[in-house]
Amino acid sequence: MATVHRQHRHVSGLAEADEVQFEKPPEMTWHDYVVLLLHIASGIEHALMVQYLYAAYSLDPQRAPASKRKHVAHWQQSILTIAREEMGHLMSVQNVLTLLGGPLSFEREDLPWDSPYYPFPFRLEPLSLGSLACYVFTEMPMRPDDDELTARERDAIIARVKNHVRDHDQRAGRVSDERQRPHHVGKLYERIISIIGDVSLIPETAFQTSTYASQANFDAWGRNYRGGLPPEVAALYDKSEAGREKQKREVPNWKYDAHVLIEPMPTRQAAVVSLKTLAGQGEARHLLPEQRRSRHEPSHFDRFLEIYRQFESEVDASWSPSRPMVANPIVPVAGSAPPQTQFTTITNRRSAQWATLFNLRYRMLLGFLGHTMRLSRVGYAERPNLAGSVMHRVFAEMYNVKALASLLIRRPVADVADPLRAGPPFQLPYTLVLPIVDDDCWRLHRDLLAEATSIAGRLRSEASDEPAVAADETAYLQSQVAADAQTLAWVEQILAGRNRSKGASR
Amino acid sequence: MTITALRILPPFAIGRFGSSPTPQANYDIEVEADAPLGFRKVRPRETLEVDEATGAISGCGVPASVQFRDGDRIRPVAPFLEVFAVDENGRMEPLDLDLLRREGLDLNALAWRAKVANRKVFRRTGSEDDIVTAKTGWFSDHARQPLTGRGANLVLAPDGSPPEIPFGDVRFIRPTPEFPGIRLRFTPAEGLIYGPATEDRDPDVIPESRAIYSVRGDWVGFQLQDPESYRETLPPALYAIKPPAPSWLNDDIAISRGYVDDACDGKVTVRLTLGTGRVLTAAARICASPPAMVPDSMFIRSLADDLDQIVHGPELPADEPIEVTRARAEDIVRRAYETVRFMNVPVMNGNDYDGRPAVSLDTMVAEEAFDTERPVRPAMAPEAVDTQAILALHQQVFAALRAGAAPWFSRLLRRPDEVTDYTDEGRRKMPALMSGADNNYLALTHRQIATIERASRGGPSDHPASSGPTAQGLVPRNRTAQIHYAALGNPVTSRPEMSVGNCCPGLEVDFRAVWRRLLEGIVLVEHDNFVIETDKAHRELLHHRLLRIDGVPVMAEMRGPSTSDPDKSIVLTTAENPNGVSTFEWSNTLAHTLHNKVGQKVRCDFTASPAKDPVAWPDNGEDPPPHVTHELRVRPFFEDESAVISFTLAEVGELTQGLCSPWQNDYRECSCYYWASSRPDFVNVEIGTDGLSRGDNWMAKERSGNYVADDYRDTQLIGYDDLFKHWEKLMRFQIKGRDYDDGSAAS
Repeated sequence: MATVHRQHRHVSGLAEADEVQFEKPPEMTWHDYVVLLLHIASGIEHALMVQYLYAAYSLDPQRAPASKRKHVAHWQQSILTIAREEMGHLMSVQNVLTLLGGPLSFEREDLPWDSPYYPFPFRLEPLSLGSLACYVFTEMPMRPDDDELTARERDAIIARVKNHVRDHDQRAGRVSDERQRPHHVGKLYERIISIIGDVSLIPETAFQTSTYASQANFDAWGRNYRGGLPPEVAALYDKSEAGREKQKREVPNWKYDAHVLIEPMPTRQAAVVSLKTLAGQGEARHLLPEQRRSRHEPSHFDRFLEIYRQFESEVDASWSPSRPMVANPIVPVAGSAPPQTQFTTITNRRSAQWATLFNLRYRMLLGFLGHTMRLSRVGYAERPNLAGSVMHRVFAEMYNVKALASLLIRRPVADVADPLRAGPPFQLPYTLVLPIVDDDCWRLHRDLLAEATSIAGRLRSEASDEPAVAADETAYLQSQVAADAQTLAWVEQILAGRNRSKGASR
Repeated sequence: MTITALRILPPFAIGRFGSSPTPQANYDIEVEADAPLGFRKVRPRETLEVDEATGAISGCGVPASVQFRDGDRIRPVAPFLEVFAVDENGRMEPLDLDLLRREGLDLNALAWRAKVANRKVFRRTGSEDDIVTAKTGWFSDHARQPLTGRGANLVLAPDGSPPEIPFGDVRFIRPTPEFPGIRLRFTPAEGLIYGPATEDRDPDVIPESRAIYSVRGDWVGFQLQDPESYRETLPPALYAIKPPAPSWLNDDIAISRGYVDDACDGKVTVRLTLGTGRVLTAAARICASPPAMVPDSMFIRSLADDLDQIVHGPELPADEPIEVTRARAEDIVRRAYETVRFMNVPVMNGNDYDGRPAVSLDTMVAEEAFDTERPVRPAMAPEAVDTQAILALHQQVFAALRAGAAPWFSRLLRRPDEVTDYTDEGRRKMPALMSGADNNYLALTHRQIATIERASRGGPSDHPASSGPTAQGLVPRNRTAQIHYAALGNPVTSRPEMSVGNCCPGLEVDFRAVWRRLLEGIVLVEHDNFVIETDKAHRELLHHRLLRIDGVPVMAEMRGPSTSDPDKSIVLTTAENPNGVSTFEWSNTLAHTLHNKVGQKVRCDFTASPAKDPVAWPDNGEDPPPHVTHELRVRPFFEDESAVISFTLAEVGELTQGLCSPWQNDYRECSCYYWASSRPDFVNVEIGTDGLSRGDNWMAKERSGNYVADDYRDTQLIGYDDLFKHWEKLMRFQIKGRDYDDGSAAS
């Protein structure tokens, strides 16, 4: 990812520090710099989201002893909740960028390298105690309360993170940089908030208040994820502070629904509150605005710590809650150099085709996402418009990504007889930059849909080699090809309309 | 075999109006394997031809195509009902000539009778003289037995026509060696309107021959008086009134024109006298209802879903194979998008349309605004509700489900106890924008919800799909198989799966009526917790309100958003509803009690005194209102061991008594546009070159591709009197989402 490389150029030299320091390079303006930091934040949210999704997909309650199945199901539910909330963070960061008149960014780290800002090396892997330790640490408040995490437990988690990273480095034939420490993401948000909140750094004129209506909002994007407990559970606790404390003690975190934070913001103050809220939900509880503290909602740290502790006490060598999935699966590219050892090439031919289709749909998802954000700048928001319709395509592709992932986690990575399973590769395309001309965006969608149909056609032309998933593969392809035909007709109709109006204007 | 009992299958058969002399041919609808997201394919099936002279089946063939009308005349759905014999080992087999012979019997051992009624006018006036009843008496011949409706308030027509309402006929089909089965055919009436025997009637609606309602009766000029408001239906009025209509837009003045239709429901009974002299009987229910105008689509909650919940309970068995659950979940999602397809979603969402404010358009969100005296708010983001875009998203969920991916949207489903949640989050839950039986937002049945929840928890399976549980088949204990039984010759529209389940009031039947007598000793209003009748032992409960059954509240507060705090909600009180409460629909509310406590007594809490205004049992731990507790026994839902809805729960005519009078009113008046299978909203939908959906309002007289906003006064749209006079011509069938007028092949 060239973009991510360039981001890191501006922070080179800082990686050796124990804690990341955020110093503005002299060649950048403060506005530039905060946009850069927002891009990095966006990339981190995106990266965390796909890693969490991969971890959640890997869990299979049926592999657990009967008495533990519920735990595994709850872990899966809780991690998915976090992933959904990360999506909200990603969109909220785009809103801040929109407010600041900066370019949007959906890029993320694509390779398992270290960067000074990324909390730990990006790695798609089945859930393990080591990966959980990474997630706990990432989402950990910089100063956790003693009653929630003792210094001893904290040190043990950090040690486990380091071991986990070192193990993987060794397996990858890399030399671990012992000076490198995992980072808290909260630090980054702290810095962003301090810059945005400082009128001497970012002038009032930098805030494009009129973009409010074009920013992502909960009504459209929140999918009703307002957080909270099922009413029958909430009814057991009164609204007093004592009631909230009791609720916090007694109700397990997995019972809380996702709270997707997506609010458009018209002003500097709103942006600061929004960033504090999302940072507080994730990694930096101390940033949470006062009014949000009165409502108990488990943070990502709370959720991961709960899973980590249960995992530590419940899982032993006799069983694993995760499917036997590979880490960092990738689709081989013909003629390219052999991949680095930290990747696992999907060599099963049919699995590789499925993974290719997955990557394509992931690209389509991000393409539609960029496009709807662009269209929302020009659309009239009081009645149906293309921004709204393209937004639904984003959610449709999320379902697609999920469906394809559910097939890949059951498919062999190599030989059918090999128990090792593949997984969703989440490989990014060479670029996420959309064409300048809107018609070309639609042509891009058309071409990608056609390509997806073509891959699906190849998959349909051959019988599945994996009996466990054959029926689901057939049923999915049958429906998806039909759905794509409809979407393609929709795109073609839009393009035809554009061509007609151009003809008319000549 | 020794015949120990009889059954008539199906236990509930739906006839549908039409004046064509040719009955609707048999057809089924099925999903095409190579077009899983498309419309269901209409497949002609074996159709029985009955010789008019002999009453025997003269032919059986599969027509090349399915035709729904002959010119301006719609073909009536005239279902057959077959008799089955149950032996001492619990096996069922069709009763036919051979079995009779083996039992030493002949056709003389058999007799039928039928009784149907139209109690719609009685439901409003309370006068028994307004009940129109038809009885055949026992018959064994094979002639058509007219169902001639008679009532004390019907008089000779000015042209000398008799004071009768023909409800169609029943006919014992003559068994033959080729078709030896014992079966009856019910042919419904034409769908006509009868009216007052007065001069000031509109002769185009009520010709002289049908001017038979007596001026002595209360129906002409009827207007419910406030002290009798407990007799009001939900929605109110629901009958043809003197203009202007509808009443709720015109100062709630609803003066009846005195119209009665030829809809009915009732009972057919077969009797077999064995050689021993022992007499066996069996019964089934029939009803006459409007045509299903969208025969290739199914509604998300059908009568079959409610019956399924009654038979199997609100929960799923713990050991149900995940493939079985998932297949049902897929079916629900499919029906969800079949439902969305026919909605103009932006309009239904509460968007302003074509410069007209949302409050002027008939939608569920506008209804909510009227009921709560609040401004209309769109339910979902106005820019994101294009019909085709929403449809495509539903279809994508379906595709993901088919991949074995858990849907993860079960949390978005509206729970039955959340139907009065009018906060933004509450209103966005699914199914969205539609009314349920209680006039609140529609919820699926508990069992449907449990199905989606189970499917969403399952996760992908690592094992090849099993074939599912072994089908139990057609045995006396398998009520589901009986309810869904497809008798030879019966089109799918005669079965409960094509009957709308969100009955407010309903179309084929008002299913709410079956719950009124579930608790022994009291009778409730079909849509309310008001005790309208009691037996002697419970006389002190008359006009009290039922608050809880077995600890389950039957009403809830209506809650809406707090303007001052988006995280809070407030109770939506109005002058008319000072407590801001609303009754839950009975079908879901009573599901657990019915499943677990039939024959047992349950604790029922009532208000301590008669209560005109609705009262709820608080769900927030506050002190309940003054109340008294009685233990009442739960009645069984079905007749004996059969799958026939108990006649103790609903007498002949009671399943249709809460419906519109005449039924045509419902097509004009229903504000909810919620019957994908019967009353579509948005048809001939195409994608415009702007990428957005465009199409016609089904109720538009002319098709232009530009949706005409609903407006009772707009002559571009089919009005009340248009329907009363020319419903058969104006109501257009939809196949593959488009007008299907030519009567040519739908195969």
